[in-house]
Amino acid sequence: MDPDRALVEEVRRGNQEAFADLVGRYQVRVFNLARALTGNEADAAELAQDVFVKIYRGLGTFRGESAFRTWLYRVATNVIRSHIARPSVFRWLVRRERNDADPLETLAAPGDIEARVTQRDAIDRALGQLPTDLRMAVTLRDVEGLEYKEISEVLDIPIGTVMSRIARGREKLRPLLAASLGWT
Amino acid sequence: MLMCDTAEALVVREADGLLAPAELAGLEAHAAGCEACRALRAANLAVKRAMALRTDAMVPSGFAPRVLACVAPGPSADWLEAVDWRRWTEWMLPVAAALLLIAGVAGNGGSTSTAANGGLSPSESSATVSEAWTLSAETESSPATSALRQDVTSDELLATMLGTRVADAEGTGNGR
Repeated sequence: MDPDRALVEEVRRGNQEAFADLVGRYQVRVFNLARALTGNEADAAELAQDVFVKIYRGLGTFRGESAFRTWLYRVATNVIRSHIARPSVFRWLVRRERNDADPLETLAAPGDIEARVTQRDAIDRALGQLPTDLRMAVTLRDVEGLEYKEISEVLDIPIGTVMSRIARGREKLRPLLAASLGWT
Repeated sequence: MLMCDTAEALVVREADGLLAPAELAGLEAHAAGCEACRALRAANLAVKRAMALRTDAMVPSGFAPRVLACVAPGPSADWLEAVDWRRWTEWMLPVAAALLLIAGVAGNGGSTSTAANGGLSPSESSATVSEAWTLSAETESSPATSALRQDVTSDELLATMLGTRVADAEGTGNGR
């Protein structure tokens, strides 16, 4: 049973409060998906907003054949993928500025908020260097926690391809993280 | 005997903590004889550990109200979002660049316009005309300044346009 089904029906009936609930339920996930895939907080906020607007306007096309969450992620990945595929001068400038930042050198104790922020920045920066297809698969699994079958539905690829992209994505990600995390 | 493509899926599931003991044994046996899969396995385990340390970023404040404002019914809805200004901007930028390029090429002039001006480019020929009209400005004998003078005679004006002086034309000269 889809846990979002009742809320989705309310939104379809024009209930703005229900849509506000839906946004509240998924805003952290969608924002972090966009942030991990783009490595840019400003872009992530804009993209996350675009996703929810598209969700609201496209609810008439959601037939309920999959869970709402799967459909949401499908819309989100398509929006973000389009954004990644069309780099603008401004996005290039932002990316250059982020590459000039100092990399993380040591892991800090879990209780250190600033260190957690720096760790996240370093991880998202490394993710941003992966090819888009691998980046999508690793992010959906390791950042968003989606099951393999759901990733397969979101990206519309076979499960075998999902597994392969996660495996290869993590393999390529390792050297990108190793320098800043001091692995041997 | 396990093949590498099968081992690949097991590597992912092992890193995600989803491998049954029998599957783990099979993977370990394969990895013992396959350097590539050993490297793949080590990378997946290491990256999974690192990714587990990633904490979620906080959503910017005011995010939900902004979203709701975009979808709110009535005239208060964001018209910029409605026309998808970002997409239009990205589409129009190449068009604008092409127009600028065409304007730049047209402004420099082609070979046909240069030949029509006796070998001068349009900018050069217009400069020559300007110079002709301003050459004698300092002596107040240019056609333009002559025409503006109220006391100029028709003979003086004609002489100025022809590049001669009335005194010369009447043979009174200046002794040259």
